[in-house]
Amino acid sequence: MRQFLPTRSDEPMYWLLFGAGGMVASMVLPAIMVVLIAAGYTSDDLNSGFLNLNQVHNIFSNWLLSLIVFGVVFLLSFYALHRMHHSSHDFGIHSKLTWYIAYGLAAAVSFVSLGLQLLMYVKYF
Amino acid sequence: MEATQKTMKVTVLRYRPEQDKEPWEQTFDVPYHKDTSVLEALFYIKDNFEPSLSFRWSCRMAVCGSCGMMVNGVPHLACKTFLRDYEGKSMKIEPLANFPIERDLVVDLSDLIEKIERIKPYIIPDAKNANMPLNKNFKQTPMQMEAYLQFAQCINCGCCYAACPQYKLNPKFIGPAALTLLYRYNVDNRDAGAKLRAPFLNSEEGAWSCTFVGYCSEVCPKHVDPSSAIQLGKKMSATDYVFNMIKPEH
Amino acid sequence: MSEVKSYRKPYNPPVKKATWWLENPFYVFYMVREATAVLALFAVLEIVLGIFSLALCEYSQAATLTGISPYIWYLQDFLGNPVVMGLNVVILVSQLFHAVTWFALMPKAVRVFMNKNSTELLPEWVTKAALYAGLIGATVVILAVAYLTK
Repeated sequence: MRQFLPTRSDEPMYWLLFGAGGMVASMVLPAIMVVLIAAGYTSDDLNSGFLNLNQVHNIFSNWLLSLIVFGVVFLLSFYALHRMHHSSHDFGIHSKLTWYIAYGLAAAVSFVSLGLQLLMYVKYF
Repeated sequence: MEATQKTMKVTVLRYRPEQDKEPWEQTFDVPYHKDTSVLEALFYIKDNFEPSLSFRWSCRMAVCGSCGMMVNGVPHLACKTFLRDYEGKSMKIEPLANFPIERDLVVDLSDLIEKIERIKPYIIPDAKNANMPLNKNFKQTPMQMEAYLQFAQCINCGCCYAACPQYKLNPKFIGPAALTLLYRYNVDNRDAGAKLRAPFLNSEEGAWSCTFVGYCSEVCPKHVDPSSAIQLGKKMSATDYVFNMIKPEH
Repeated sequence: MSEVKSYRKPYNPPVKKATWWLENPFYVFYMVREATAVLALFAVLEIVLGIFSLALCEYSQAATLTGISPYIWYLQDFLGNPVVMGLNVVILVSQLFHAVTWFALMPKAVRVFMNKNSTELLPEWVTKAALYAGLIGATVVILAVAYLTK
């Protein structure tokens, strides 16, 4: 009898990441965008503009703040690419390929960010 | 009275399987007053212009769920939709979307019925209560009833399937009404069948084909809110997934 | 077997696999809602680009400016570029739109009773108010910290 039952999907894992990432995108990302815009606006002032070198140095030499930045990057990339993966389905593309591209890219972006952050952490100390 | 009678151009999609290759449109001038329903407009057409027009109906009071059809592209119960709300516009009546058209406005709902059957839409008591004598009652507090009552209002009209783009794109998707009823029985305190229903909830064609478009809740004539039941079902399924990871059952 | 001839010939309307959503404003709204994820991805890539430019810097030579030229490029030529700034404003607006749609749907996934003996459900506005409070709180904290530590 059991073989007639549908198999369990692994979607919950991605859905939970998507849910957490969607929360980050709605609560934290607007403020991050304001900071990025402000950083562009004050970029002529290298000493006391937004995201000046000292400030970002302080962020990435603090393991907790660096971990928070990584968490934001990790959750947002999985959130965005999960949604885009499902959108490809909405445009009539039903292929396992979009699954590999979406979650592969999300994992790659997260790993690159984590690697670079570890590199900086080591370099600063 | 006759002179002040308003009329509306009502276009009906016709399909006669024995002679038509494809559906075609036929337009009628239908007189109406403030409480003419779409169903009554169809009666008028059948009585006065086109006796062969086929459509399903029974109770005329939004209880039986027979007269689901597309009115200007939106799923509605014909008995609960009124021409007065379309005043100044024309009206186009089509059979319920996403289902095979059998004849005129009659669709084949077999897929919906089979999917609802699949999730065992009845109370499955646990072993202790399975042989309870008929003169004994299950106890249920008002709060325990409130937990499922809203989702028990489903009349299986199929409007949510006609509204669901995921069902349109992938007919294997078990769909809003089946998932809603699955949730409805799972949260009923008299029921112990959640394990038997779990495979249909946890699978790709179960709750995980839903992308929370939310249109099913918008069109539901009984305000069941299927998309809410599906999100709650996803939470149920995700919890089950995590527990299964920690302590696999098989 | 029935002796009566069957005239059944169900008609399956064709499905527009890529353009179905153009037929209903509700679906268009849904697709716009989903499309905000593309801009969120762009924001992530911007952040990672910043981290990358920072990692290229030789901080010990910071006094000479050449050591930190990758990050200066990121700040002045990338973030300071009017095109990127304009795009960032678009991303900001899209993410606020995402927040509104996200918060509007979230109460549907929350179904809790007011208390143990009540048949009254937690009202939707409470969930929504908590989410908006989260957005405002997080924004105030991040902007205050970014401003005070610069």
